[in-house]
Parts: sequence; structure tokens; C-alpha cells
Amino acid sequence: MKKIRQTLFSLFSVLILSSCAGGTEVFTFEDYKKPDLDYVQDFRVLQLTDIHFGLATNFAEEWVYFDKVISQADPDVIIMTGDMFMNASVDVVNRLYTYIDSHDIPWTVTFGNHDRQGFYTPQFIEGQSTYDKYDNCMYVDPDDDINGHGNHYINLVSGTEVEWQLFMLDSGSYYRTGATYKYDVIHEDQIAWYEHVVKETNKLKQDVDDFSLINPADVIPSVAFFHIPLFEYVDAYEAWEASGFDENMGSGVYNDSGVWHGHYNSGFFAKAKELNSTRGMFVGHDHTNNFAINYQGITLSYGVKSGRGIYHDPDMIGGQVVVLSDDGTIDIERVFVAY
Amino acid sequence: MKTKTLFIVTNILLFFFAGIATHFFVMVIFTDAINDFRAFIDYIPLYLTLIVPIYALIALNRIAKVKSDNVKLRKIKRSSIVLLSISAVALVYGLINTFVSFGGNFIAGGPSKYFPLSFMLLDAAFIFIFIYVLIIFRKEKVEKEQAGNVCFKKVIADVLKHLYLLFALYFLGTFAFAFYAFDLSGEHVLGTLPTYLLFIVPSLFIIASEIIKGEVGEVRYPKARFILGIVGLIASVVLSAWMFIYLAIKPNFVVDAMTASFPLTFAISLNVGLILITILSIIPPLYIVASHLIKRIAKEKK
Repeated sequence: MKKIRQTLFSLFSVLILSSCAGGTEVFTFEDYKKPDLDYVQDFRVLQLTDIHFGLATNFAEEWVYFDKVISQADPDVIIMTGDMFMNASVDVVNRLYTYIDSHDIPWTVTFGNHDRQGFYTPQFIEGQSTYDKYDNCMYVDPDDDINGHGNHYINLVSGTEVEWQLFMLDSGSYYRTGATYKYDVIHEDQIAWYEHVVKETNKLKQDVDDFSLINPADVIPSVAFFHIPLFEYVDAYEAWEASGFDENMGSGVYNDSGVWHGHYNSGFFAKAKELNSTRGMFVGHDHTNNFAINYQGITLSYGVKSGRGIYHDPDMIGGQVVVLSDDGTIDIERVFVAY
Repeated sequence: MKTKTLFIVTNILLFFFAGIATHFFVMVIFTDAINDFRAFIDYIPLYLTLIVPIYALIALNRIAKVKSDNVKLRKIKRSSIVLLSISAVALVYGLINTFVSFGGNFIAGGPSKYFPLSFMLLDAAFIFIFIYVLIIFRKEKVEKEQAGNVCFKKVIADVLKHLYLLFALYFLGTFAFAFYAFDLSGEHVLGTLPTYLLFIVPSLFIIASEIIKGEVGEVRYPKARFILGIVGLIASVVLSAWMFIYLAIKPNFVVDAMTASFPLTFAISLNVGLILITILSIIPPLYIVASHLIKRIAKEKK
């Protein structure tokens, strides 16, 4: 029965995603993930962000540093949420990815606004073939027509049951408005893709035809990783400020010159709320912000800037561990490591 | 090969290498600058290596302008010694620094896959070239010559010309490195094509000016210069208009296909790259055409 249903879902996915497919190729929602990972109790996701490796990076020193971060974090998966590179080369990219892969821990990336600035083609940094060289890489880019590259997800499973989902979305880089450039956003077609994956995975798990029949409490919990913060990060901070910085609501600091969100609110937060799946969103971008605030049931969190690439606070660098519990809750551990 | 042809070929090759060196120099120092110049001391040999082709280009064109063989010879020897010294310092510094900062790893990476070895090999090649030049001219007798008066106006013009040269070289290097960063999807080829061509216009203009200066006599030079100005102006205006029309149709084409070519633009989030390359392409031919016409009108009035 499940097999028949899966086939039907796949056909439905073909219909839904056919508008997003490049050329004659069509993709099902399962084309956006690598084989599932085993869920273990208190699953540890290490978020590294804004590493900013470039032509002036001293790798020997950096590997010593990142060895410390990774060993302290003790992760089950590593996700780099953008700006891994700025003014880098193919060699710099290969060195970082080879280093991360050498830990034998599954890992993946989302792109930031600087990753495409380097001595390589956009196709090199975004294309699947670059990532297929690495045994532990979970990155998927089916080369579809959905905005961005590497919109993908990872299922964490116990047996065949999906326990958690990790979403990686490309929040783009820039958007030109007149003489200036503002930051891009997660576009509407990406939100539609996210909704589709959440609904199809849940329908499959609950063996129902209609997502609305699923009890909201039974929806598979998920977390989302991308680079550029949402408009709601401002609202969340204001709400936290209004609460007198209630410790039960949030933690961390707001030391950057702002929350540098995209140029309009494309509705990703609203959709996440509606679906009741995503428990937390984790971004980078603003190097000296690292707050995490529970806002309307979703934790809106910055990561901890990783390494000393471009501007940073030397006492506030390292990584962030997102702990995924089997009761569907998340915990955050900030790992601060100085050079 | 005739000396003139040899000069033109050497000049064009040197222009190309100097363009790559200038662009790479700016990219590395910019990357280091946003990282608090943490690698500056370690990268001094690299910067010295990259200065060599730029200095050599400037020296070659200065020497070509000198009429006295005696002075020419002296300048060749002096420039070769300076360039040889820079390369030697870069090589020795680089060698010591490899052990001090990179733990003896000759392929530590960063600026290039085989850094610092690749730059040491370049230094060695430069040393070989300049020793060879000195050997060729070793038997030539150099007589002392008195220096002429320095004109302040000429110094200012010289500084401006060299500043323009550096910008032109930078964008020529951007063009050369674009082969690494070209958007293979071809989605915005109608926008990237005029932009890439604009990158080489300032350099082509300088090279063409130098060739004309050497090829035509003093009498025909103003007219030839004027024609070059007209051609340069038309090319720049057409390419700029094409680029900006495409930008109006596809406002995000630079973001989608050319982010790597405009690092400073995206560092300050201002669309300065396209404007700068347009100004650099249009202003010099416009100046030549305008000054020629003004002179002609003034002459006719007389």
C-alpha cells in the first residue's frame, strides 16, 4: 500500500514541480535529498557560519582552530550556513571541503551572499559535481528552475520513520535597487518547495491523502538553515526587548549594526508557522549577532560566527550546536573557541 | 624580427601580464585588508613579485620614449637592476618566510594552489630574465648625461596617466580572470558580453595610442590621435549603452553572472563597478576628441 501511495505521491510531485523543472527533466520531492541519516537521541547539528576563507587564508592555522571547534561540538552533522568563501579560488574551496569531509561526519552547505565571489564559475560553487567528490557530503542541487541553488533537505530516521527534517535553503545574495544592492530573500517558489516537501513527507508517514487531516502535534519537526535573516528577526528582537530580555524567551547578543534581512518579506516565517513543522531557523550573515529568540513558537537564531574571517568579535567565534530531541524540542549550545 | 615589432609584441605581452598582476594584487590585498592585514607580512614577497611586471611595463614605455641612445641604455640597465633586486628580495624573503610562517610547506595554498612555490618560481624566472638583459647590455658604454628640468605640470600629467594605467590594467586583469569565473549558463550573455568588452577598452586605448605614437610621424600624429579618439569614443558609448540597456531590462544580471568581477561593488553594496568602467572607457577618448576640436576651432578663429 505504501509503495502504491509513494508512486502516487511521486506522480503528484511531478505535477507540482514540473513548473520548476529545468528543460525536460522533472523532479520529485525525494530528488532533493541524499539517503536518510539515522536519528540518535539528542542529535547534534553543528552550525558553522561565515567562515570567509579567501586568497589570504593560512590553512595550517585554520585547521588547528576548526579541529578545536569540531571536537568541542562533537556533532552528528555539520551544516555551513553560507559565506564559507569570499574572494576565494577553486583550490581554497577544495581545501575547506576536503578538510570538513576528513572528519567522517555528514555535512552540507547553504550559500551566502559572498560565496559566488571568487575565481571560479557560479556552476563550480553551486553545481552537484563539486560536492559529489566528497563521501560525507549531503548537498543536493538538482539543477531545477527553483530560485537559488542547493535547496535540499535531510531526513533523520529511526528505522523507516522520519523523526526530524533539516531544511537547507539558498537565501540568495543581492538584489539591485537603483544604484544600491540590497540582500536577497527566500523566494516564493522556494517556500512552495518547502511546503511541498513538508506536506508530502508527513502524508507519507501518516499514510493519509490530505495534510490537513494530520494532527498539528504529529507533524514531523524540522529545522531550517539559510544565510540571510528574515524580517521577523527584527520583530523577535523587539518582542524580546519588550519582555525585558526574558531568559525563557531568548539568549545571546545583538551587537551588529543591524539585522541585515532581505529586501522584502516573502512569507517564509508565516508559512513555517502555518505548517507547524519548523521549530527553529538558523542563519548567519550578521557576524556579531548571535541571539536566539523563541518568537511565536519558532526559535529565530543566528549562528556563532566561525573563525576570524573579516569582521568579528574574537570572544564570540566558534560554532553553534542545535540539539534535536525526540520530543520535538530543540536546545542551543554555543561553542566559543578563541584562536 | 624588427626592433619596432619586437617592442610592440613585448609591450602587448607585458601589458597582459601586468594586467593579471594588477588585478591579482588588488584581490589579494583587498582580501587581506578585510582580514585586518593578518597575512600582510607573509605576503610581502607575493606583492613584490606582482609589482615586477607592472614596473617593467612602465619602465619599458618610459625607455621607448627616450630619444638619446645613451640615456635609453642607462635606463635599461637601471630598471633591470631595480627589477632584479625586487625579484631577488622576493625570492629570499619568500624562502625564509616559507619556513617561518608556513612550517616549510612550499604548497601551503591560499593565493594559489602551489603558493608559495609558484611565486618563487616566478621570482627565479624574473631574476633569470633581468640578468640576461644586463648581460646583453654589459659591454655598452654608458656616458653620463645631465638631467633636464622637471616641469610640475608634466609631473601631474604623468601621475594621472599612471593612475589611469593602473585602473586600465586592473580591468584588463578582471577580463583575463573572467575566463575562470564566466557564467557557463549563458543566461546573461547579452549583458556580460559588452561588460567584458568594456573591461579591455581602456587598455586597448592605451596600447593603440602608444603604437600610433611610435608609428606615425609628428605631423600626422594629431590627426591619427583624433581618429583613435573618435573610434574609442564610439566603441565606449555603444558598449556602455548596450550594457546599461541590458541592466535596465535585467536589473540583477551582474549579481547572477558577474559577482566575481566586481568585488568592491559588493563589498560596499553600491553599483560603482559599472559606472567606473564606463567613465574609464569614455573619458580619455572624449578628452582627445574635445581637445582636438577646441584647438581646431581656436585655430580657425585666428
